[in-house]
Amino acid sequence: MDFSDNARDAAFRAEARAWLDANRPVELAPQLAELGFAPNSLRDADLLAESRKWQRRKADAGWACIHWPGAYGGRDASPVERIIWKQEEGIYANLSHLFFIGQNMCGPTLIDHATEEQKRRYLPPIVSGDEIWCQLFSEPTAGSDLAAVQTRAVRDGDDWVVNGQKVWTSGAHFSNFGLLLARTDPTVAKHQGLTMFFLDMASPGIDIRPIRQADGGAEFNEVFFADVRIPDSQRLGAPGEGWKVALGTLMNERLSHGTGMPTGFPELLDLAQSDRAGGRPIDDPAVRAKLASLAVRESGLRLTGLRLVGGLKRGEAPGPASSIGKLVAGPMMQEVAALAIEMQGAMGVVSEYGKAEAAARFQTMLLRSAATRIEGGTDEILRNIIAERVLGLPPEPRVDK
Amino acid sequence: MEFQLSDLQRELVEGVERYLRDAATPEAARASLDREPHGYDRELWRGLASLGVTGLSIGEAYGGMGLGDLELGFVAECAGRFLVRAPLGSTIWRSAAAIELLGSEAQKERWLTKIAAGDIAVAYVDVAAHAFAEPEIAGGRLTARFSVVADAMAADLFVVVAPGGAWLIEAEDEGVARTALETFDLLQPSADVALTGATAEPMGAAAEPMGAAAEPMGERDVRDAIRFLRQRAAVLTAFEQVGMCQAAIDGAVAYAKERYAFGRAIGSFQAVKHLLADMYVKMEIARSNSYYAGWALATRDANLTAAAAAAHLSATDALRHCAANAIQVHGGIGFTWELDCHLRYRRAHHLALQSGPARLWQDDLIDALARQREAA
Repeated sequence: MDFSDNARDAAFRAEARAWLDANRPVELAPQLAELGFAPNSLRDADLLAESRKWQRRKADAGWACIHWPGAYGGRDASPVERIIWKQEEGIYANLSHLFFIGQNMCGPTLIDHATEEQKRRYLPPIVSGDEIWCQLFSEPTAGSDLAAVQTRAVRDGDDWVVNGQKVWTSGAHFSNFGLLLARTDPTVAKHQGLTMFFLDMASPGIDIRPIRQADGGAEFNEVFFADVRIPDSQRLGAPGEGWKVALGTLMNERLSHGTGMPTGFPELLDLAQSDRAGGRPIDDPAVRAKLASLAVRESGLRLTGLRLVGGLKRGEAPGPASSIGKLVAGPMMQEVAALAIEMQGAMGVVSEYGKAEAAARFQTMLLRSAATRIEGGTDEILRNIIAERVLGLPPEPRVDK
Repeated sequence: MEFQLSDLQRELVEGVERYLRDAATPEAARASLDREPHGYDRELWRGLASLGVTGLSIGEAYGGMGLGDLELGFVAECAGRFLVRAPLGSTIWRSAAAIELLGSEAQKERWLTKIAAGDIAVAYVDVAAHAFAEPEIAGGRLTARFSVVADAMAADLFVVVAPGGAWLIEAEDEGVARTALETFDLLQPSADVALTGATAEPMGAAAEPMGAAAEPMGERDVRDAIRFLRQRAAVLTAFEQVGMCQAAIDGAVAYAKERYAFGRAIGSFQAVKHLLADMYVKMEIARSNSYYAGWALATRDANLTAAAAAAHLSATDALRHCAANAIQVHGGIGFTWELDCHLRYRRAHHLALQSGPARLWQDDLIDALARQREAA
């Protein structure tokens, strides 16, 4: 157990820092620093264009998806090097959110299940940001009960023909490819009848409609499939093995969430130290007690992330313990936002950029964090995973298995 | 960076675990409680000594193993998983380090060797926490009243630290009077201690200076030392608390798998699962904070103040939560004397008090973080 850099770590950090110093887009720093925690736009620049520019620059220099194999555009970095890179990249990692699903969920699934030829074709553009991926899992009647998906894929010669509807698909409107979980055999028990595919989002028969969210944003979409054809060569895993493949995808998602969620605590601490009509909030013992309670979760979360990622062997898949991250971070964000808004007094309700304090980040966080506790595994599903897969408690008796 | 235990650390913990599994059984703890309600399990103490636990972080020159505080932390975590009725907290987490830090060469020679050998128990008195009035010291004799001193009845030696100085007082001195207290922690008894002109041997100040400095130890140094000792004890206790969380969860999970109600194991109900999952999450957050604090302690890292506070606050919260909910998962049987749940529930609330008021740790933590944030 050693939380400090050894000589090798220090050399790697110096190398990363030197490259970042020479290459990061410093002109974007103020905008990146004031982004909320689920950024999907920049004030004075095109987020997608800037993200692609930064991603390409990193990829050209070998600093993108560094824990991936070198053959696919990565750097074969160790888990510890991955941690160091992330620490050093800092706010510039906000330019990677649009690639999150491709790099953290679809990519690792391709690495595990695609053919060598496919990996060489599809992984490098994910690394460089040239191709963006989305994940077509949830459906109107299959959210927490993901294995209930009804979107059908029927074999037809060398193709599969897909009909049905997906929902809550982040970034479908700007994605080039999608990872699709579909039902290929409705005659067997539900977890056995699923198969995983990937497909070109420009395929004929796909209709993408944005969802207007409760917070006013539109990151997510409904995606409709009408006789969409997917070549069988784009199947990942055997027919009927889709659930197993999906679990691997979700485990990778949870590790990424579990190790990288900004909770807003440092910014809350800044706010607590500001002079206000009633004095500095940080001098109020009641506020201090709440800040301390959040502080220990913030450090505990960050350090648990280090233990989870740093404890992996090179290339090893994350385990169910990584469910802990979002389960702690989600409710915490709501608490952080509520406390910050309370500190702001009557002004706390103002969410207008330019008038609201701290670039409206706490108002944005308040509204957006309600979804954090649902997306990528609800708090309740995450508790079930911890209880069953970490603690070994028996599953609920079920009529659908 | 390295986030696994080293081979040495793992072997050390496994050795202690093997011993405690046999020696620190619930039956042994209860027998010791019946035999000497205000003492401790001496056989267990000697056993721990023969494994090197009592001398783990004591220098080899004094019969110890000379290992670091992080190793001691992992051992503390392991001990927390069992019902150890022995003065680890008072003698090892606190007093041994105080003697090592403040004592003269002769004092270390005399007392650390005995601690490492498991021959004595030492009670620790931080005057700020245990005395209502300033102790009076005159002519090498100390007069004071200390309340609720852990392991005081069975102690052979008292270490007393105050901003104005630090002393060693032998328990058999005729100026020492002890009154056993009835407390709810059955694993670690406490007593009031009255000193009436007790022979008090000054530590450090009258002997050799701390470290390599040629000056005698001044008040500033003693204050710093006391602060460091408080942080060190809180960190090692946090490890112990994490171990106790693990034991509470393990016991509750095992019961939830075997207890049937409504025709199925109660652990299959989401209401029970979610209780247990939340216990696990709190434990892991506390464990991560504790491991980091253990590392910060062992390396004397600049972040020790914030790290120790975070470890203490999160482990205290986690253990109170886990101990209470372990009883809840067990239902009625969990509220019986025969089950061990109440032993941990009781101790959870004693340990919460032993490191001082939460408010002081919250202040330490927030002040340290605010300073860091301002510097950044």
